[in-house]
Amino acid sequence: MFAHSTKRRRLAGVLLGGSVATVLALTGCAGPGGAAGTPTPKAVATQADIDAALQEDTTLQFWAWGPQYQAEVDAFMKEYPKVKVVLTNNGSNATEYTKLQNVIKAGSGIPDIAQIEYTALPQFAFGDSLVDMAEYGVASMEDKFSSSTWNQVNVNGGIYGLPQDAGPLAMFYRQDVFDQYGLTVPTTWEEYYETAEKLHAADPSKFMAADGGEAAFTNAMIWQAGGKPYAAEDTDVTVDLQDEGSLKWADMWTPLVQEDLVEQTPTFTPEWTSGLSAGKYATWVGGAWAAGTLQRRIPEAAGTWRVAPLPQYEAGDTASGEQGGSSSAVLDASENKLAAIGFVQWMSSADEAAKIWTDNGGFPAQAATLASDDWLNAEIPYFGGQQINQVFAASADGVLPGWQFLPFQAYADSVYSDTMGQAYASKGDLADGLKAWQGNIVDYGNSQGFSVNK
Amino acid sequence: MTASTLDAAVRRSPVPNPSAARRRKNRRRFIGWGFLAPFLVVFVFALAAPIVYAIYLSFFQDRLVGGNVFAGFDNYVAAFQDPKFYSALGRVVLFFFVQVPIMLALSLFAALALDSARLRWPALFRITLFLPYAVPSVVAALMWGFIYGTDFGLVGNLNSFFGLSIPDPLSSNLVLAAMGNIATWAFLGYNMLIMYSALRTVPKELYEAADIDGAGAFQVIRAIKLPALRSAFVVALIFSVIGSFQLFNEPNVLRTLAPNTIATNFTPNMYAYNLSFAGQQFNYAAAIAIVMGIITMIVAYVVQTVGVRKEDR
Repeated sequence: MFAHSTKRRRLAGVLLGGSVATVLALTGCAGPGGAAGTPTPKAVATQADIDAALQEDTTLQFWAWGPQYQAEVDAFMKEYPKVKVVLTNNGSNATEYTKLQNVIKAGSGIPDIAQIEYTALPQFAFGDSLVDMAEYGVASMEDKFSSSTWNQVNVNGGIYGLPQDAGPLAMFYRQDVFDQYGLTVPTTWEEYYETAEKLHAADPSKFMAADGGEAAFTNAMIWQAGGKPYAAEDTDVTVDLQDEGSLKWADMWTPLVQEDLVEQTPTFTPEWTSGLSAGKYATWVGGAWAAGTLQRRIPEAAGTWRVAPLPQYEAGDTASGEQGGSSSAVLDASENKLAAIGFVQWMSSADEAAKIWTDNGGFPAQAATLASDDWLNAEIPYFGGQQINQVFAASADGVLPGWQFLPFQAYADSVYSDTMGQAYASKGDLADGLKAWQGNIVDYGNSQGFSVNK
Repeated sequence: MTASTLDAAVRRSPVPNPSAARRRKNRRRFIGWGFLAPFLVVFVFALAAPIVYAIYLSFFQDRLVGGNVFAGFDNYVAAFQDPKFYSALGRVVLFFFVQVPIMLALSLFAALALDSARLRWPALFRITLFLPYAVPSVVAALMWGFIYGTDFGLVGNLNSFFGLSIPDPLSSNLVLAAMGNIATWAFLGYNMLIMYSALRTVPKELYEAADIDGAGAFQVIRAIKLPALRSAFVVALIFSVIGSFQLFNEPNVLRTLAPNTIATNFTPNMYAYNLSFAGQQFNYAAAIAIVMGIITMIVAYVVQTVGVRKEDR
């Protein structure tokens, strides 16, 4: 407690006179999420306070797993030599969240900043584990980001992270396989199915895609189909995996599973990688980050892959969804909130940071980068010189608004294989699988004290 | 040894004063505890405390909304009504009844073969069968996961090289058998060693007597070796009970390769693990773990009593 207050005094001492009182008020009433949910957030610090904090000797602990973050951290420390950022990789997504949850529960070893995907952001925001950055005036940064990513860091009226990357959906396909079997690139899901039939009939060892049934993919596809299965306001949660969009996707995808036109191989397994490399799968529907994954995982397949817009339900539409994408969030337990927010602001929006991000194969969430000619017109040799960013940018524009994740999405996703997985394994109706999944989610939510579908 | 030297010291003492004797007696009692202390500290902190803490946890419910509340036996009631728990339990029971007899029969055969002194290089034979036990079980599961791959693994290579169509070992019908195979591979040598060491304690005179009586090899096995093995066999069986009921590493590692056929509640241990780490349901997981521990203890106890009783007969 004593160490705590001296730190506060020291911090206060360096700040401009006028803001001292507000900063003290902030650290004093650290009651988490005090302003969460209130429509007009009260400002507890100004941008000047944040800038000043970046000129102080500070060490920030940062948890992230993306391959781009080390370069970002290095560049940041060059620009702000007084701030030391220690980057720790605590495993990808679910692994990191489990560790994060454990340290938050234990109350020690909590990092200042963490990479948190949009799917998990509501969960940590709901647990009052994250700083509502709206209180620090970041709302003015809205136009720096694409609208779909900005929408996703908004949880219950607060801003719990700044967008770092995004995963607008696109269809990656093997040009060589398409050429070999005389296939044309499908633009609608109906054509996609017909192409899949043709390919599998011509060579039964080839499949239109690999899909072992995964929550992230299912959510993204339901998103594109116009479904809004999850909604949460405080503790009132609605789960409807039988809504129009969810069933639209299930009806479209079920035949592909039932007729073995997609192979049930989980992504990121050795089986899957070798299949991708050998041209066993003609397409991969995934987030824009998949471009980086392909280049890193199967460099030997350079020149064979191309990118096309996501097939549509109605010819001529441009609807899209997102799979993946991360924000950078500041933990409520951090004792260096101002510097941490300053770092996150720099990493998510500074021009230099954006350039490092895209140079290292990251997909940008910044509106300026998404609209810049340099980026849009870049010809990527791996994809035969195709300007793939144009496809992604168009997809980002087409992302349907209004999507939400559950405040316990990590758990919901973890039981996906128990329910939807059974539908996949038995080649049943995916709509039934969705129904069983929903049952599991509803039970869990209610047992955790939420009021789900009540 | 300590007790006897102390006794001697007391006996030699010439003072018959009763209060002094009591004092000495008290001191004697504390000295005993002193010798026990190093073990006791480790026992309390490493064994007793975690169990007590798990029991304590199992009486609460920590919810995302509403926080931590005392729940009495609610978690236990829920566990006994949980179909997911029963399906997990049923699976390990099936595993126990199929895998354990096969493994122990093979171990027995290997131990008898080793003891028969008819093998050319017994040391090589022994070390080869025992070696898999030295492989950490996570590594073993990973290794077998690669072998089982139908595309890039050994199964895939066999299929493409010989034009076979070996079914996917990780499909829902075969996945439990695939795990049984891994467990058998890993523990065959271990059980063999337990039985072999029991066989080595058989006095040579018995074999000589059998020789004189003109008993054949199979008669020797039936009349001398198997009875001598019985207690070692019971020990191996108890270890196998515990091993089967605690099945975790194999399904947990293979789950990344076959998420749809290996559910989060594939075995009771996996269920408890996933409840606490994916669902943050520590309390319910603690209740499941305790129920499972008690069930395992009961089964192990039954195996032991039945085994020992047979020995007495």
